[in-house]
Amino acid sequence: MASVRLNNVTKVFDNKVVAVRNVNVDIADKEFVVLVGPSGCGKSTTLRMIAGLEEVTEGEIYIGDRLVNDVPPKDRDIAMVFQNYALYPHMTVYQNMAFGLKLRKYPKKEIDKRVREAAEILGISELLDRKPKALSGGQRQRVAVGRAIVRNPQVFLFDEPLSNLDAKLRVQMRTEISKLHQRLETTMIYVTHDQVEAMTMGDRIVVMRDGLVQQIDTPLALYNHPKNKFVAGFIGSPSMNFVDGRVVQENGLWFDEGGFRVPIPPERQEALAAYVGRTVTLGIRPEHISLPQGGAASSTAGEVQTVVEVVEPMGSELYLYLRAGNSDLVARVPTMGQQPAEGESLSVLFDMQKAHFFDPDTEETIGYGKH
Amino acid sequence: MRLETLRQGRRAVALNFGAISHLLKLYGSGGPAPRVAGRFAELAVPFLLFRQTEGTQSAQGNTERNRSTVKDRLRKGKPRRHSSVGAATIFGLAVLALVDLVPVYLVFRQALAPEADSVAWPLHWWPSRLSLANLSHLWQGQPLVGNVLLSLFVASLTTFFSLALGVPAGWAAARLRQVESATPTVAILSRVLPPIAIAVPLTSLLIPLHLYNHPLGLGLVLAHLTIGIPVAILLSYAGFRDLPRELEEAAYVDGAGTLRTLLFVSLPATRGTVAAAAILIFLLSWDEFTYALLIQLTHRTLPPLIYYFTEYGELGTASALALLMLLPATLVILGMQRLIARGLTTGVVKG
Repeated sequence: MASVRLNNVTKVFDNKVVAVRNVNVDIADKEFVVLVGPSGCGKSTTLRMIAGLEEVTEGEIYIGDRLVNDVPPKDRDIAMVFQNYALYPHMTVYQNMAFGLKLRKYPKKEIDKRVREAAEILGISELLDRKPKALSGGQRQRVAVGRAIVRNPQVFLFDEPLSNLDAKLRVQMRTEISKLHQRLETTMIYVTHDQVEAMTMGDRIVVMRDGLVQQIDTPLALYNHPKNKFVAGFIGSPSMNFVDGRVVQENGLWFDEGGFRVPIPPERQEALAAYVGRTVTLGIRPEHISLPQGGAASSTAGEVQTVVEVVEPMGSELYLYLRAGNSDLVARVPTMGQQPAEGESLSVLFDMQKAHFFDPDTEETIGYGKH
Repeated sequence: MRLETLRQGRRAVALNFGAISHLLKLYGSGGPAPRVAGRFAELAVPFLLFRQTEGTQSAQGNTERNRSTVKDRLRKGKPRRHSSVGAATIFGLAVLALVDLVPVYLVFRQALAPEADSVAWPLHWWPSRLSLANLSHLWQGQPLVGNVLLSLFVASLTTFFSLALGVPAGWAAARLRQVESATPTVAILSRVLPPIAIAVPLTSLLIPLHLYNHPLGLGLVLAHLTIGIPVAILLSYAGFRDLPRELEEAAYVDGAGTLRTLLFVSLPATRGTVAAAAILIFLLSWDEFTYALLIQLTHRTLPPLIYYFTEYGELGTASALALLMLLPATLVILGMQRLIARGLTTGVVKG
């Protein structure tokens, strides 16, 4: 159990490609931190630097109080679960799990006890004599996790461990890893490209793009207060709608798309005052677009006329693909008695309290941290 | 499934080339044409195995992608491409089997027929009568055990040192980008050079070292290492390159250093390839002729011994000896098929 600290960590590969730039992350003891981002964002490279499988070009990595930049992986007291499991093909499940302990010269009895305990936790006790090739994907995954937990390391590293599993198993293993974290109370660093995994598992999430950290925050903070347009679009499913338009002043501030106009709520007006007459990007999540429930719309709601293009029933919810002005929108609304038909015109409400505004040049959230 | 079969087929073709080269050279100790053909086939072995593993890498390394390609082909209505390749492979195998069997038969016929049959013209496909005279002549006329033991000793020592030096080099080649690009070229190159051209300066080098005509064949072992090490490098390189890197990384994280990772994880995981290399090197040394002829003047290994018999006109005795030499080769090739055909790395990554 230990904290992990990355201090201005940069990785430049031989071919001059900068994979990771000036990453600063403080991971507390026993914390579950998820590194998330699209492929090529540097999240795996960051994890591999923590593991010692890639050299750090610049900056420092601390595990606990120890600077580990030049410590080989075998002496870092970490365990890692790989995307393709990387089980030793010539060893049985038992031998796979015992390998790390044997190398560390644990007594036979202790090894046996730990392997059987871990197998018990993971429900693979009856597989101990099998070779990896006689196991299913989910079972191999468990063995890979088991190989990590028998060692009782300071830090667990997971490199997209679920991406080779089918959807159902992935959800199940997701919960199991979360439970494991609660049970073992060890620092875990988890890499994934799947924002749902990140949101559901992480105490905190590090969102990365192009080798740069975009934002580090709790899942809800990322969802409610994204720092920029990338984070806003990456977190949440379906992703946030982005609409370009101008800020106009006419009895208060309005966002004018050209084809429709919605009011900017009073508490945002100060931040957006500087943008009057200029283009900004409005971000509104599909779940924050609703259908009028009869009666008067609330004062902060913006009413928008749209045409329904596609209706996707998801069971309890409907995804509506709408055309409004010059923009395409997705709305996520509860299933209703009578579904809107494709081609029908529909009036929807934007919950402007929950809308975000982005500077079109920097893509930063306008007035971030002020609300 | 289909691809697996094809891969095994190609592997078998490569191995058969090995077998042919072997038999042609044994049979062809007297004549240049089969020897040239044998040499050609022998050169093809590492090359074919190498090319074949290159193909395998993409197939094994990314099963997912591979599956989708097959599916794509089927979708595009071109499923026949694979079946025609399969048919060609089967045809090739049939031809090879025939080419394999004819020399073997001729060796048997000549060894088990009276001496006179060897030179009879037109060629007798059937021996006029079965005779053990050649075998008994071979047995009585020579202190044969010494030659057999020397051949075995040289081949074993060559195999051991080739692997001990070549396998770590192959591993380095597969893991270090700087080394990787040069390795196949360098290794192949040393196989392309004509042995006879190197043999003379090499022999004169061995004289001051007191390794010329060494009773234990130590000089010959040195010469054979020039053949064995490149084969060991090339084959183990191909094997290690197919091994997912994460396997070794897992070992590092588990607490193993470089040496223990190689010994406990990488080597066992590629034991099929290493075993194939060992067998191939053993056979290359077992039937090597040029160096053996020049370096071992009186302490002879079996191939030059055959040559001396033919020089003295004892074709029947030579054939009897050839029959003896065939034994380990045949055993080894039979064993090898199974060893290599099994994909030993299956199950490492997602199946």
